[in-house]
Amino acid sequence: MKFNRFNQMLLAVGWFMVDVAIIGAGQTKYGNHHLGMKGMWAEAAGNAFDSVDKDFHPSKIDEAFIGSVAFGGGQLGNTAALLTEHSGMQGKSVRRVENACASSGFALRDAWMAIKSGQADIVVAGGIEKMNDLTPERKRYWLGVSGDTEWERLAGLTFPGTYALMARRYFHEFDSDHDDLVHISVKNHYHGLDNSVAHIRKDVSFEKAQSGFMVADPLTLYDCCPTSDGASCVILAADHVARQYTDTPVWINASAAASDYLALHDRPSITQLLATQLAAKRAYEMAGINPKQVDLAEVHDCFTIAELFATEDLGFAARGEGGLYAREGRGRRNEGNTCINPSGGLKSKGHPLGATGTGQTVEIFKQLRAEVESSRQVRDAQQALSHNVGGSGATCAVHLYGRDRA
Amino acid sequence: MSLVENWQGYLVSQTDSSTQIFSPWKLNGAAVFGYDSDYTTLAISLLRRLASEEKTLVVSEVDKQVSKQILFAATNTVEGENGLTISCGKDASVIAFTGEISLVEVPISNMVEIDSEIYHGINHAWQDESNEKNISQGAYVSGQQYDESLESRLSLIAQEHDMLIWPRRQMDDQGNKISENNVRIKPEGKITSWTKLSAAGAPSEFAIRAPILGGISTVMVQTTDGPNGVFLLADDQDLTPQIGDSVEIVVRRLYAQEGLMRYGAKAIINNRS
Repeated sequence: MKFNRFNQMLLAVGWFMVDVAIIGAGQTKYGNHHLGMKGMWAEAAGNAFDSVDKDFHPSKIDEAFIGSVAFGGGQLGNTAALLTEHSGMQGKSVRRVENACASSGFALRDAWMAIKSGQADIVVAGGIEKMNDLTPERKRYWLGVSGDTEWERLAGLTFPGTYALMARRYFHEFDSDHDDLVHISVKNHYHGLDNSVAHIRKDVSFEKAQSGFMVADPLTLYDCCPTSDGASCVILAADHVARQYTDTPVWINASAAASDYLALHDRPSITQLLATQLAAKRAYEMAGINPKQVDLAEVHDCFTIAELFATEDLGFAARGEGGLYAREGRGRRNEGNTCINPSGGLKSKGHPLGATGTGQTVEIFKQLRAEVESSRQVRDAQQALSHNVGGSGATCAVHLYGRDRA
Repeated sequence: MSLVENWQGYLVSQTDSSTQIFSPWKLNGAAVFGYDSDYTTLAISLLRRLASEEKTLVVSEVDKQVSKQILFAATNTVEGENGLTISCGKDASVIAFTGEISLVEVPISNMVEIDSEIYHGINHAWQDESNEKNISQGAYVSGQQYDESLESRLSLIAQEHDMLIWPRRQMDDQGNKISENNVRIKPEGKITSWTKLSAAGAPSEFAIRAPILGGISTVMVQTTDGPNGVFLLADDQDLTPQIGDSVEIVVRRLYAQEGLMRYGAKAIINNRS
């Protein structure tokens, strides 16, 4: 039941609204991947196709949105066309989506909107980044291309520096210090320990994380996510076709996004991310739930301070109490509160820029279907949230998911 | 001997007809440039010194070793007859004079001995970075893009639009076109946050120099007039910044690309020695 004039008329008067389900999801392992971009994408897409419970073939796909920064510049143009020809999707309408580290969070939103509009029934959203095949100099160049080049980068800032400025200001304004960030780091490494697709799977003690090599004062190595290779892919379907492919779809009950000034110096405050707050507010309203009803959240912890901000900006902790939330271990798996980053987050699972957003969705799809390793399953998870941030917060996509429709 | 004063990280000395500015560094008894200074940055500070005394800044001649484009953009100086002559000395100094030149004694005793190894390392780094054949992996800010914001970058020119807006932008958050009602914001403010990046964390534009300097420091500053900015720290070898420190905004070398030196605003902490 794709777009037709009758449906479009119903859409216009609000009588007909398509719900969007996830029917399949897959990814590569994150880390130093031996495969190139084509191989990684084919692996992630293949895993997504295989995860569909009933018979599925890529010929069924109407559209594809692939998030990527095109790190390294090897295939800046027509990235999506090149990749999807390696996953049986020749002839489809495909494109690359770029919003820095939030590229595939926005690809997911674009895919969701394509179905919502009535123009497509089955849409792929994915992401990819190959980061570890570059020289250190080239890598450093590409790591800094998403800030305000003219004003921030030429003042010596890459993202560790930008987030370090935010962290120091936060410690100045609120009752918090670096130890709160250490708690976040330790928790995320603990969560990622049993995640078979995580980049860094090691238990990190508080003392070790506390005494890490200083990268950008006050942020140490244990506050920074790794640079990872990886690809991720999710398959969305309109409600009227979803049951053809699975009896247990995961529903996307809200998709929202927002933006903010790119440069820190243009923002009224650097101790919160306005784009996250705006996107979260819109998402909660759309789904009709509040933060307390979220069982697990995959949040964008490119740096530990970013998770602290997300805890507040998404409404899990009050303003100024994100440090306390971390200190009291409230984000830990199965400890009664919203579990923050059950996958290990960007810190442990890894951060292949363009793949991160839909990688979060892969984790949520599996958590809500109780398909992750039993040791790291969030018990009785019904509702979940993903939070994908571009750069230092200039772009943000928030999605809410449920085992049931909103 | 004339009085020597500290000014924007340099040393200034005056006679009746001339003002001379010196690098504060010496090596083996001779004055040398610091880590991010040259004749252009000295000349800018010199003219800013004269402007602060409300002298008319008409310049008739500029030494070829000073970038005239940068000097004029950074100081709002006009070119005209019977004005100042800007001349470079051999001893890391610049003099501004009218009529007869009147040199002052080089204030060697006021200068600080520079670390020889770092000095030579930085000099080699600048030479390598400035080489046209050195294709930087750094962010590409084209000549046009750099020039478009030159006044904003070097002279802190802001727009008056309900509040002061700096750096300049095209429209406000209501979609209204912002007029070219230019105001020069005071080059001073307080540190609201800071970080020191390790050499490994610094942008690739600074890849050659950061390891020699042991990293680079960046501060976020709220200027006295209101707008915020982020700036590299200058002359911070022995200082750890603190939130609340007072700073002065000066012009120094940022980096070199495609054979061109790029200058920009940096901050000097001025409430502690």
